[in-house]
Amino acid sequence: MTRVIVVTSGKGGVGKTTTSAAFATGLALQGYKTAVIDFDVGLRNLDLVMGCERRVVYDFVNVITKEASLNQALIRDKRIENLYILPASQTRDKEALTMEGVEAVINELKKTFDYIVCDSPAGIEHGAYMAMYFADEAIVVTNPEISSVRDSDRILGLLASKTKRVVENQTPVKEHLLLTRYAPERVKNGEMLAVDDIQHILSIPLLGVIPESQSVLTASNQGIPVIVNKNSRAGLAYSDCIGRFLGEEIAFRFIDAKKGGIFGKLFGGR
Amino acid sequence: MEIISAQLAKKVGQAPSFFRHAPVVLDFGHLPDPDRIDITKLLDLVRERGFIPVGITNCTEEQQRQGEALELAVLTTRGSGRLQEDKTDEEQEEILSEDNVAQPEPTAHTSPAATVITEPIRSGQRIVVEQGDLIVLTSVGSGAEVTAAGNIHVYGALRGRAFAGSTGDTQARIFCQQLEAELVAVAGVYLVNEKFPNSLRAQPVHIRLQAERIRITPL
Repeated sequence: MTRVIVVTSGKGGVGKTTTSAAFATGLALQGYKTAVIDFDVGLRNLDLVMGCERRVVYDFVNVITKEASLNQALIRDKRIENLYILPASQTRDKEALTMEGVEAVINELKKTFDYIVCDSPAGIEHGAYMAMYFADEAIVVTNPEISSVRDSDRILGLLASKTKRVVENQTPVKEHLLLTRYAPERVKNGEMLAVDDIQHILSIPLLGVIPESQSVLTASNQGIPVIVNKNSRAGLAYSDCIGRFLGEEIAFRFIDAKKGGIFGKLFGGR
Repeated sequence: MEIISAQLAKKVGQAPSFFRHAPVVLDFGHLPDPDRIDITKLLDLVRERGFIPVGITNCTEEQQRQGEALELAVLTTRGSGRLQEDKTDEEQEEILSEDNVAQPEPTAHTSPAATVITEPIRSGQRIVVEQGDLIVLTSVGSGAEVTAAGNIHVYGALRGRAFAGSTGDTQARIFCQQLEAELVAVAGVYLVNEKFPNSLRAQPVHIRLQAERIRITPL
């Protein structure tokens, strides 16, 4: 049974695309056939983070408008088996995403894929709505700051009211909280919200905490999803998230100041 | 009326396809005796020449009523409009009835054989030239798209996508000063960036179709 996962946040720049890339890659590394779709029509980025920008011929909108078949538009990842990317169109706008068109693409993907990861655009408008509508699960990416938390709260409200599962009276979308750009030292100094505070406000299960890390930017610029980097704390934290997502019990790391940091650096690679 | 007709014909003769279906505003302000003009006849005349009249300006109240009845936009009234000739942004076709002195050329006057773009083409922008060549004096950004029925010349870096010969002309070519394109295509045959020869990356190149394949050579 295929699961459709939306990676969303409301706020921009919190790490949705990084997370989508890492998550899709992680699921594929576990042997699941995974497709990741860029819903950010007009501001396409996922292809860069996935390192396939030089191979884009057709895109998501071409498939919706039937100018290309899904197979023509899907880009197979060169490094990782079972991983496919459906890039967004840069020259169109979100209105090109019709409900029927998106549904047809997702249904077609469901025939052969285990997981479909939908990389949502920022905001709560049409693009974000289309990305979340068909979701079975949602990863809500949040930074430890109040504006991001409030936007996530808003998105959670929409997930609970505006998705297909709600409209059709099915079990609700399964929500996961993912904290990114977490800096334990700054939390300790009171400059950032702590994990517990955020969880208290949003009250959804915590899937993972990704520490602030230089390697994320490096990975994006190189077009290699950070999860592949076993020397990166962020990469390891994403790997943990995949494990938890698939039902494993994995202790949280990189949450505490100093101790966690040194521990992570010394033993993180094991 | 005959004078107007003759002048229109001359104007259209200079660039027939440029004026085809061009929207015009009929300006009565320069006519010596505007009250004598019959709007209905003038409209027929303008339409015959392939223009699409969209509005009238600097006319009498009577003409204004006529214009409104004909569903034309009345852009200014005679009283206020006379002194403010370039008040609207719309393309204005000046109709001079007397001596043809110092008649300004329309600012957008371009030969249909080529379209020239002087501003950088940004990511997400799409330029489509349905007739003739496209000349870009700056760069085409990553994520931008340029399409031309004829050749495409880019005098800066080509970082986006370029489609030459979009209506099927297999002889069309693409020229650029710096090849960093995401994709290039001639008459529907394409090549993605990944397949470009490494030696030609960021180089000035010339792209054409040879034996139904894209061929890239240095300039």
